[in-house]
Formats: sequence, C-alpha cells, structure tokens
Amino acid sequence: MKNATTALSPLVAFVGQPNAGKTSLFNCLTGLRCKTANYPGVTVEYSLCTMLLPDGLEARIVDSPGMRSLEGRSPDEQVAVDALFGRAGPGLPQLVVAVVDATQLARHLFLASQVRDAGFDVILAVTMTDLLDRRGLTFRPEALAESFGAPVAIVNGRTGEGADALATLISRNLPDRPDRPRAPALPRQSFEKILERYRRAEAMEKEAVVALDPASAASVVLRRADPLSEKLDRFFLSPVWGLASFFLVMAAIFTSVFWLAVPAMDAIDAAFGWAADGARQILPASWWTRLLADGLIGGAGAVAVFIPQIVILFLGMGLLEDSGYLARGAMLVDRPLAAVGLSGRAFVPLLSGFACAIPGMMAARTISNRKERLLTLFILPLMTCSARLPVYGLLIAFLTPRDRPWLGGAAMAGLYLGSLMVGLAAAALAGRFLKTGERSTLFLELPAYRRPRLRVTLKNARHSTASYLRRAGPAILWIALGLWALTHYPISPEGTDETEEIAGSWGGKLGRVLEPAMHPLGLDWRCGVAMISGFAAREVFPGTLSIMLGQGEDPAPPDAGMQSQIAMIRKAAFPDGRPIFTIASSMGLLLFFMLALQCMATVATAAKESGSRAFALTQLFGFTGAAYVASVALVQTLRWFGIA
Amino acid sequence: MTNSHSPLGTLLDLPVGAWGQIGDLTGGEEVRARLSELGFTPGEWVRVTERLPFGGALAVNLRGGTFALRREEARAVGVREVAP
Repeated sequence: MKNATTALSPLVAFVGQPNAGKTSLFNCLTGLRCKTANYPGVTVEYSLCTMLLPDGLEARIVDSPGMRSLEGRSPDEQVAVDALFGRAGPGLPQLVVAVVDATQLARHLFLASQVRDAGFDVILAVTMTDLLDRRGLTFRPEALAESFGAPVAIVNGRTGEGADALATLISRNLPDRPDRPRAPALPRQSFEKILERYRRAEAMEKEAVVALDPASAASVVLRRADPLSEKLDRFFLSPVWGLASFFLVMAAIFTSVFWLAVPAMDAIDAAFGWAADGARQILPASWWTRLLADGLIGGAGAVAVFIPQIVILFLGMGLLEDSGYLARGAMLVDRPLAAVGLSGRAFVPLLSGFACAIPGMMAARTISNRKERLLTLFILPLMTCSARLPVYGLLIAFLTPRDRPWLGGAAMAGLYLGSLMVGLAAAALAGRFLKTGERSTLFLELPAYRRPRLRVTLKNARHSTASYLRRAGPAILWIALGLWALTHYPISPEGTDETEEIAGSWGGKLGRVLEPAMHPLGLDWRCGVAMISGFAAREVFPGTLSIMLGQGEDPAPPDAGMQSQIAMIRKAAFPDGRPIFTIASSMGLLLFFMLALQCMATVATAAKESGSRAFALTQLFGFTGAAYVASVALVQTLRWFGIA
Repeated sequence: MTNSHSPLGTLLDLPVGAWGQIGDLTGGEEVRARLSELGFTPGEWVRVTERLPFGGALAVNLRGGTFALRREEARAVGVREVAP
C-alpha cells in the first residue's frame, strides 16, 4: 500500500555544493525517516524520504552527496549526478531544490545555474543568511529570484527556520503532471564556459547581496572567509600549535574510546554472562540449552560488547566534522600522506577505518583520484578496527604484569601506531604497481568553524552504529552458532567425556588437519579452530578460544567475563604439560591479528568498491599470508633469543 | 611588488595575508577546470591565509570560502597584481 502511493508521488531532488547545509536542511524537512544509511564523514549514498507537503500531498525527497559541478569528478559526485539525471536511484526529479550558501553565493550559484540550464525546474534554498547579517550585509531574495529566474526561500537547517516556507514553495512549484515532458541534458563544459558562467553568477551575487552601509562595498566584504575561522586557523594550522593540537585531538579520541567505553563494555559483558548462566540454570540440561547459552547468547554478547567503542569513535568523529576541524586535520596530514601516494582526502576514510574498515571504504568514495582511492581501499583493512580490540584486550591483559599496568597501555598504543605505519608502508609499496596518468590533487574546502551540535551528532552516531550492526551482526551470530555446531557434531554417544566429544567433532578434525601450521606459531589445534572462527569476525576469537579451551572443564562458562578467559588461557597446555600461551606465542598472535585480513564482510566491500575481485583477493591472501610469515618469524626469533 | 599589470608570479609567491588578483591559470586541463570550478577565475582576488611547513598545503581565501591547495596547485594560479 505504502509502495503504491510513493511510486506515484512526485520526486524532488536536493542538490548543492559540499558544506552548503544541504543535509541538515534535508533532515530538518524530512525528520530523518530515511531509507538508506549515511555513514559519518560524508553522505555517501543518496537517501530517499517521503514528506508530507502543506497541501496534504506526499512528495519523495532525495538527498545526494555534495558536488562542485555536474562533471562528477569523484565517485560520490558521480552518484549525485547520476541520481539527478535519473540514471540511478529513484528516477528523474520533477523539481530540484538547489541549496546555496549566501556567504559564497557566486560559487554556489555556479552549480545551481548549471542545473537550471540542464533543463530542470529549480527552487533556490538560501542558507547562512544569518552570517551575512553579522557582517553588515543583507540578502535580497527578490533580486536573486528575478536575476536567476527561480523562486527563492531563505532557510536555516540548523534551527529549522524557513523550512515550512520551503515546503510550501515546493508544493506550489511541482508541475501538475507527474512525468517530465523534456529530458534534461548535461551541459558541455569547457574552460571558457566555466569562466562565462562565473561572470553571470558574480553579477547575480552583486544584485542579491548588498551592504547596509552604502559606503562599504559588499563584494569586498564577501571576499573574506569567516573572520573567526581565520583567527582559529592561525592557531590550528600553525606549525607548532597546529600539530600539537592535532595530536592532542587524536589522542583524546582514541583514549576516550578506551577509557569511556570500559564501564559500558564491562556491563554488557556481565549482562550476557548473567543471561547465559540463567539459561543454563532454568532450562533442562540438554544440547539445545547449551546451544542457546553458549552458542546464541555467547555469540550475541561477542557482537554487543564492542558497541560502546564504535559509538564513541563515531561520536568523536561526528563532533569533529560538525565543528569543521576534520577538514583541517585532512589538510595537516596531506603532506605525509602524499609521501606514500595518498592525500589528505584519505584522512577521514582511514580514521573511520579505526572503527571499521567498511564505513572507511564507503567514505573513500569522496576521493576523486582513482589511484589514491584504490590505495586507500587497499590499506584500510590494516587499520586497527574495533573488532580487533577484544582480541588485543584479552592478550594484552594476559601479557601485562600486574605491577606494571602501563606496559599494557604502551602495547596497545604500539599496536595502533604499528598498524598505521604498516598501512603507510603498504600504500607506498602498492603504489609502485598502480600506474595511472592522473596527477594527485588536494582541492579541499575548509568550511567555517561552527559549534558542533550534540543532538545531530548523537543521532548520526546512533544511525551509523545501527547500520554497522545490521551489516556485521547477523554474520557474526551465524558464525557463532555454526561454530558451536562444528565443535559439537556429530553428537557423541551418551556419557562421552566432553574433551573426547569435541575431539571427535568436525571442528576437532579440522583443527587437527591444521595442527602442523599452528606449531611454528607455538599454538595448538584448538587455537587453530579459534583463528578459523576469527575469519568470520575477529571479535569472536576470544569466545571461541574459551569454548575450545574450556571443553572438559566443568563448570566452564565460556562468556563469564575476561578474568575467567585469562585464567583459562593461563591454564591451557600442550599434552606434555608445556603452557600454550607464552610471551612469544601471545605476541605472535597479536602480530597475526594486526596484519591478517580476517573479515569476509570487508573482502566483499573491497571487491565492490574497487570494482575488482582480484583486488580484494590480493588483500585477503596478501595480508593474511604476510601475517602468518611475520608471526612465525616473530615467535621463532623470540625463542632464539631465549624468550619462551 | 605593487607594480600593477606586471606579472608577479603565482599564488605560491604571494606573501601570507596579501590579496592578489588572479591572472592566467596554467597546468593541465584537469587542474584548470577544477580550479576554475572552485572560482579561481582571472580577475578575482585571492589571499593565502596559512602556509603549512615542510612543503605542506596552503590555505587560500577566495570568494568567501577557504580552500586547502597543494603547492603545485597554487603554482598553477598566476597572480598579476597585489593589493596594497
């Protein structure tokens, strides 16, 4: 029923330059009840919403990534252009709302006039007029409506002012017939045409923005960027304080990911452990009770426990982006990234990669240069994603001596920096094999600093986390269930000891086949089974390991918190009594998890985003193979130096 | 330096904080198209507001916005006049 009405309702497209305030206006009009997921950092896909117009009719509204022109110079701009011209997404719009920034009117009218000249019906939605008032300028909507030849609405996406007037304007300007009689055509661009279009946009700006004081010239005032931002940039982009504050901001984000998340993670961990215990006590002892308690509840706990860290990282990045600082960060790291063939545009994707490689790969669509984009996609799986944290957390807690807790913090910092260094080295290396004629460019807008909006950022972080869980959650849960089955089937005869039971299962047999590959790492077949499970989702490794090591020890709840897991690791031994988890074998395992690509969802995303299966398979086998060789080398070297 | 109508050089030579008027755009077709789409058009006034050390990017103020350009990109923007 819903589909039938939306298929008929008219389509309105929102178009604008990056930072025009387009997405906040869109959210404000539609109330965020959208179909597609937006990842933080950028609007990477178009979002489609249905909104009720003042005349009681419904309209479908489509928002797409910001663009500079209709040329589609990066994959995300191409998405926006394709959606506009009906080649992708919901079809050809009947009306286009061009969102333009009043403080940069000529630049924004450049795009709006391209859209108009392509043959679309256009409404201009003018944002940031409040900033003009502060500078002694005034905006004249009638003048712009006259010179541009389209209706004009003044809006403020941050406060919602003018949204109702815009909705009225939309319903009044929708053509009566839902189908467009003429097909818009992409205008041909040449350097001379761009200059000519700018001259006309400048003339319109001159008419529309005037100084309140007749003695001052609006055009001179308008040239300057936001004066407050300029003052802040003197600090944030200065050689010493700029770099110092950059490192401070990054350190603040990553330490808050650890410290703030700990209580929430402990609580989630305890809650799932309690639920599993409860299930075991209440339900009769049978194989399906164990499936529920160990397989299902334990598996869900493995997914849930790292939600706090993901939320905090998304939240921190969202606040930085909303404040305008993220673009400065990208500018600051451009020079070092350029040295390995990347650019500052890789900053946001790589930073997202510290939460999860998948949103990072989506964010890489904003990179226009193909080689840079492929290199960014290539090294993203090496960034320390949050799925590795449960593994690092367990092994570091095991390795850290009680009297020197700072060693654990240093080890964690070392793993983060190490993954970044290895990633940059991999980019430099892979860049040698990727030969394209394109020149690497930056062309990055530094938007005016604004006070970040906590409510919007919270909403976006919640949205991103939910879509991440939808993507990764089911797979992780299925693997947990499948794995439980693997280690318990075929069902042994009644009364069999559990250790024998698991040894006789398919999982036990598979583990024994892999045993020879585990020995150089100083590990046994049970760790091998846990590492195989990590290929579905790294974060299930600790849980699987405790299922594997805990077999035959009664009672051994596999999900009763980290302390019991550490105790289990400490006790684990080879048949001859030597402990399995030593300094050498634990460090080798850490190195393996730092380098290996153990996430099938990432492999699938890499294949899609790079447009090449060979690319994704190169990552899968290259990183995992390198991880194995490096870990074996580390373990054997440590042993050679007498470290067990 | 303020001698009007004599080519000064490029955006890269413009002292931090001084306004300069854009002359010709050089470089490849792609760089020229992208610069002009951002509003780097002959006759428009620009200003370098920050210059990162070690060959890093420049922050350039143009038409009410600020853009980060690499040095070779700034070199493609000719400057023909410097405002006092």
